[in-house]
Amino acid sequence: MSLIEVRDLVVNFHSRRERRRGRPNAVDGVSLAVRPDETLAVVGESGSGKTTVARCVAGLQTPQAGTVLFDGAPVGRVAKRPPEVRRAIQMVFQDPAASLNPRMTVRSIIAETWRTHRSAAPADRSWDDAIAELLRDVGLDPGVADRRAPSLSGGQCQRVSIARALALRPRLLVCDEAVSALDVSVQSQILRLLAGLRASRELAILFITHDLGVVRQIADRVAVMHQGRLVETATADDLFERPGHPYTRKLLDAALDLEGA
Amino acid sequence: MTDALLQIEHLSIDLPGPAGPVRVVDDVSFAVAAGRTTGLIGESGSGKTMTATAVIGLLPAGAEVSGSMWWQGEDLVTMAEKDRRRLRGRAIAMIFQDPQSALNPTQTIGRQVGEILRRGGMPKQEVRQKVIDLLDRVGVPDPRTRHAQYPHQYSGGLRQRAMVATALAGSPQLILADEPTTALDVTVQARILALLRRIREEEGMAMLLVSHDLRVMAHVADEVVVMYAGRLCEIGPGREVLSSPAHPYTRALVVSVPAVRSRTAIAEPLPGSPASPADRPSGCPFHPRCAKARAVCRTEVPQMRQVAPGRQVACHFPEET
Repeated sequence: MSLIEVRDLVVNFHSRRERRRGRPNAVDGVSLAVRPDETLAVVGESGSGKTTVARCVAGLQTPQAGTVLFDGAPVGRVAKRPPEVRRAIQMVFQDPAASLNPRMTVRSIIAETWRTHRSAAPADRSWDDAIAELLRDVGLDPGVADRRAPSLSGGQCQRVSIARALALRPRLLVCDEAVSALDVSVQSQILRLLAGLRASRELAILFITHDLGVVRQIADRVAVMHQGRLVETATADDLFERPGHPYTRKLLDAALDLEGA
Repeated sequence: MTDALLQIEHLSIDLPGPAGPVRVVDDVSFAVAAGRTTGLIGESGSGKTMTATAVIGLLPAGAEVSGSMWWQGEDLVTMAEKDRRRLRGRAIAMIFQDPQSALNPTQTIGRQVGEILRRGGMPKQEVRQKVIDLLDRVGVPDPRTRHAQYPHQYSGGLRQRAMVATALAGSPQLILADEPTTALDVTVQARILALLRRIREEEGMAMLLVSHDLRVMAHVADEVVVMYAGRLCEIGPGREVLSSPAHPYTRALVVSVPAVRSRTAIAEPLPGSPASPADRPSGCPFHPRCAKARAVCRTEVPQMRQVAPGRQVACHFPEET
């Protein structure tokens, strides 16, 4: 069964009057599903609606129509979700520095998640020990706990964002362009980390990106969006070897490779 | 090199910082040949953008520059500001990364493209016709109508085309392009790169392309210059450097680029983050992240030396090329 499923999602950012005049939907009838142990990549160009789909899954955006199902049960926007569902879906954003409060230490950023979700807080040991272990899991020195975001590099900030998400033992990680802002030598560190976490923690990942090379490395399945609609969903191997939709072919043709330049 | 249009020699740039001056570019030398595209590759803090900014002469206030940048027998470093202004936008033009913020939202596209022509004293009607021709050449559809429109009426790709037209207006001999396609979608990126290549071939001008994107470099650059933490790593023909890198850092960059047309495993990542110029490691700045580093790398700064015809590398233990 799917961990998360999106059915006939419609989002329109225009006013009701403009909608009646036929202004297009940002997301127009999208349906997709993520299984409990897979990485689904959603790819598309700017304005394709991929981030809006991610925000609906995370409950940060209320769709005009359609449903988001978690474990088969419909869930609304984040404030209306049961605490267990809120805990189970965590998000990692594009800009690593902007997604951490610059005035809080890494320790208090992580501890805040446990103050909000008491049920996920470590019961059998001190929070400091648990924070140190989380930081080690994402490849950071536990000493980072006392530092604040402005003194960390982009890659370190992104690891802290991932540690913060993992602190709540999520079942789905929504990554919106989570490696796009990183230097290429740091990007592979974070991709390795995500791939490793998925294997060790039974984590599903919804990975939003425009970088097809990254998709090929980490995705099990790929959904291609164009102008608010889903044009193709396929396993990663099929999509890259046998693209079915003309738009997918166009995207693949436009992508550059180092080889064959 | 005898046909060098721009010859940069021992360029160093210090920027004022909270704890004293920071050397963001350190002893950089390379040449941009006439009619060729030279690619400047580097990650954040590498000094690539500062190098290009120094060439166009738009460094922030308080920047200290030493070394020389030879341009047709004159040194841009010591040239008076009024002479530099004569070159800027004319012989040397720049295309910026983000056309959204580089274009003035309150002026029509036509006005901005034609600014350098008007300043040169060209009559109004002629400027209008020239602007329409320029927009047509860079592929803006219906330029007769669209030259009178404002940047917000243009898409991202069209704005970048308008930027290219603005740079071309002064008939430059050298175009500096700082990450010209980074903010664009892949399908648009491919078209802008094709445009830049076509224009360079038609006009025979030189281009200094600054980017962290090795895929773009592989497709556009004739020569590449790789920088790390303000210093040179490697210089050579683009195809050779990117297919058989001599510097371990270049190699690490090349293997971390994921391929689209074949399935590649996620690269063995480099440890740590790019070194900051404010806190540059001793010796070879790359040594803390380098698997091949030995004692000498920690203490001695490697100098650029030739390893093959046309290929230079700053490494104590370069790869076989």
